[in-house]
Amino acid sequence: MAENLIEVKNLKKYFEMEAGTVKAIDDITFTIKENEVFGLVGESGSGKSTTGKVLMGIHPPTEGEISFREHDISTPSAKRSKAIKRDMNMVFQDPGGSLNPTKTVLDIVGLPLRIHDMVDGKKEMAKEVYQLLETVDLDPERFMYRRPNDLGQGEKQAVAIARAIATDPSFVVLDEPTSALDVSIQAKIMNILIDLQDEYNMSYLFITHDLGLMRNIADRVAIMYLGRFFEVADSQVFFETPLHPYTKVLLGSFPTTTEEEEKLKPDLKARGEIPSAMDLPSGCKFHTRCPFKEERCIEKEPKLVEVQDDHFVACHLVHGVDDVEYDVEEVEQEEREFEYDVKGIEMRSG
Amino acid sequence: MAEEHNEDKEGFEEDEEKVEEKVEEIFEEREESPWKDALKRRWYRFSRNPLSLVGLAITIISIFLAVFGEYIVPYPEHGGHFRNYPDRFIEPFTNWSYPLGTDNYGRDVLTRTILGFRYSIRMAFVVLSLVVPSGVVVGLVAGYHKDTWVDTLLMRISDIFIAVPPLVLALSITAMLEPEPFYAMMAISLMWWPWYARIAYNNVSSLVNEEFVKSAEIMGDSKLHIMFSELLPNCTGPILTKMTLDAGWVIIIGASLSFVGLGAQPPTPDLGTMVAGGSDYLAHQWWVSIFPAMAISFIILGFNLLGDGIQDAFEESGGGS
Amino acid sequence: MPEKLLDIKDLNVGYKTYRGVTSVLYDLNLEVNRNETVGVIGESGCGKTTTMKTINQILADNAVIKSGEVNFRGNDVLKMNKKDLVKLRRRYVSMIPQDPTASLNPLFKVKTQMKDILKYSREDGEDLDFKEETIKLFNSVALADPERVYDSYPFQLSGGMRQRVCIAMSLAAPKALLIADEPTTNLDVTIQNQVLRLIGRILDEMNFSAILVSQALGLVKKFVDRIYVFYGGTVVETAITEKIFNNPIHPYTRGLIESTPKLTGGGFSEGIAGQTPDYIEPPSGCRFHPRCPNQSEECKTAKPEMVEIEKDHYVACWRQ
Repeated sequence: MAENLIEVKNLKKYFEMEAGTVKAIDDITFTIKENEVFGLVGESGSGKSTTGKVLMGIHPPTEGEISFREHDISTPSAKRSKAIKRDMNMVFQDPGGSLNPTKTVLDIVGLPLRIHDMVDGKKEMAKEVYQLLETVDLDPERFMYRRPNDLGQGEKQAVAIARAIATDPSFVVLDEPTSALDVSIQAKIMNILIDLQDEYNMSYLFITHDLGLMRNIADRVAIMYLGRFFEVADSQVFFETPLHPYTKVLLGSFPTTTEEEEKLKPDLKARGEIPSAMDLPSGCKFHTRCPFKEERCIEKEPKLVEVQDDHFVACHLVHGVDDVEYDVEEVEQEEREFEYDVKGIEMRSG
Repeated sequence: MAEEHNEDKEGFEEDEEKVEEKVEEIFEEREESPWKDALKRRWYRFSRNPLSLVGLAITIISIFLAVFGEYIVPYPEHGGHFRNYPDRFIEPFTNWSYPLGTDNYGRDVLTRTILGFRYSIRMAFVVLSLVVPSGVVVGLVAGYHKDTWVDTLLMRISDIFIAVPPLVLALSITAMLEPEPFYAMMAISLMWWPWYARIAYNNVSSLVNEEFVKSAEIMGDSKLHIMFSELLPNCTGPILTKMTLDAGWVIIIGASLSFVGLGAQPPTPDLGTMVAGGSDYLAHQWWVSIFPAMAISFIILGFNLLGDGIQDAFEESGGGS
Repeated sequence: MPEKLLDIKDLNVGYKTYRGVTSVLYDLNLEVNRNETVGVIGESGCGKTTTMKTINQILADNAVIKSGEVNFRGNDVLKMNKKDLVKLRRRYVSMIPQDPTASLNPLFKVKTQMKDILKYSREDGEDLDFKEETIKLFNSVALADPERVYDSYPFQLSGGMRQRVCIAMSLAAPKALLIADEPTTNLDVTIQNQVLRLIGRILDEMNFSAILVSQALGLVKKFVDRIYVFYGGTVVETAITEKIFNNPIHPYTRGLIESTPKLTGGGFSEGIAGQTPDYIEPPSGCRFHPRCPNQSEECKTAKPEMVEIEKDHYVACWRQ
């Protein structure tokens, strides 16, 4: 049985701004196992990037616990042990911003090796970096002494990836690593990421808004909206039998290029704008745009509940069709399994 | 490390050797390639404006004269207590022996003017070597700790120094102590360093939230290393530009101090002192003051044009495809 | 009345850089008819933005137009004088730029900028109720709080909102040709759809044409009639939308389509080997040849000509 690598319990991250409080992350709970790719998908304002940053210690949590291999990491990175910092790393969205423009590729990729005293002298560092560049498909002879300004976007990301795996970490956060890349380069980088994950036995927290990407890399997927999880499931279940209306809406809006994809897509479109994170809707945060909204959706916020084997959903309509029979309090207990009426939902969408 | 992931243990040793050879090769090549390209690019941008090249030429000439002046002047002894009354006040452009004329003591104005370069350039050099490292370090540390007590403390201290008008401060200090070039330089340094703190601070605080800094932090890099190795190299452009332009300013302040008698004393051939010395004769023997004054302008012009060029060289280019 | 709205013939454009003059656009040919939407797909550095900027004559100072014609309604834009160019931009061609932040003046509120646009590009420019018209436009691009946006400075808006303001500006006085350069890249997927459908509707109603430049193949497929595939500053394949996706011929087109990750799974393709050409010393002959799995000697010698493979489907490749 794979161990739990990362455990997140009731995590909250609020940002105090002059205009008000932004509830970027509003109570999420999940675990990432060893050797697993956990996907976090959502649109802008969902809190997915913030989640990655809190896990890495760029922002400390406002509330809640995070642990890494049972060590508490609910702290900013400065307060974490060096051993932990060696075992976790991150790839950022903007290839340009994450590389120091005044440094050579050698120095950039070698930095973590030096920080953790893993090499003895510049020559040995060069040897290690040489091999790392080969694993990300960059010809070391051409690239080792280049500066970021002379690299293409894809090459920059490859360097960022080489740096991220240099210390052989067991966990890497990837925050939209290919959003800034051309489609053909994206394919190459994704292949490299998949091979690396396999070869080095790492876990990924893969963050993206692109469902097509997610389908092809994640083992499990969580969809996030305004700081909350709406649905968590195994990849295949998530894409083939999604339950939450937002999941369906997002899938429905995906620009497809093939017939098969068209058939897979739910036929559901969203209305309206994503609300501001400073002025959140009451009850279920999605109710302002949900085609199925009911009274209870405006009043009470649905909890994330396991409705099928390992398939969690936060939606009143999925939790129970007949709330005449079930006490609303009881419905929100975590251990229970509930019957759900898929047909009922489909009829309402017609 | 990465070695653990080599499946083939036998082929592993061969690979090791190959890698070792390749790394050796690259190590040798490296001296050339990245520098050459960056230099080419900087030079292209620098040289686009012909005035920058003029500035570079003037600065080179000034430094050359400062260093080698004493060996090439026709009358080195005129730089000191020399007296030659019969030859006093010879007009410029009239006599090949004294192309720029002579002053009230009969000393060759051309010689003394050339010798004067040394004092001016030296002042710029000394002041900047004191001021730039200290100011930049303060700004660097303050900028990295933006919005903490460290920032407030350091930047308010530097604000205090900035608030005093430079010439006033320099005048007061040298007036209290002895009128000597050394004290003049110290005085100028004291009120100059905060400008570098400010420039470094502005640069660093804008970079502190960049992802490459965050990346270093989450990987466990020490604060010291981040400040000096990651952030500092990113500030060189503006700092270098300011240093070059400042050289001109330092020289003029130094000359002003000398002019009012608080810098080098006669008979030292300091340009400001010479301007002062000749001011009594401006009406009829104008050349005694004017040529040293022109030399000051010449030096400053050189630095200013050079500084503009450096600014161009370090500007990030736009322009796409 | 000329049939073609836009007719670009053998266009060659480059830029002056510290390494020399680049050769970006290379014998480029492109047409847009009346009342049709044309898609331009290609990755970064392929020359699509350069082409769009040439149509509007808003290229950078260091651009060099070496040869070719850009005929708009029969008149060559490259030979137009300033007055005619201004008229072109006010009345006939509008552009949704790629970077909304760079396109909005940070010193003026949105309402002032919208007023300028409405005043100068509408026929009845002087007599409009600017606020009313602006709010109408904002509603149509699905801006949630149009009154607030109207009264804001650009920095007070999110990236997605700025982009929609730019789109509203370009729709303010719909013109004969709308050039949309990656208009929805920063917008969320759910909003993208709404906005593109709106643009499509307006184009239909007004019988206007548009060029949609995008890397998102799925979007382009849904919204355009014909597609041009750009590579290395020239067109490598062009056909009606259906044929491009059902029967892509050029290896680059195929590579692009295969590289797009599918919602149905299947992993990632190998991508396309190599990288974008160096425009100072571009590859000889077919600029794609260094990256092409099918390259042959012929491919290095001369630029392939456009050949009609089937009806309404042209490919520039020696190996067909």
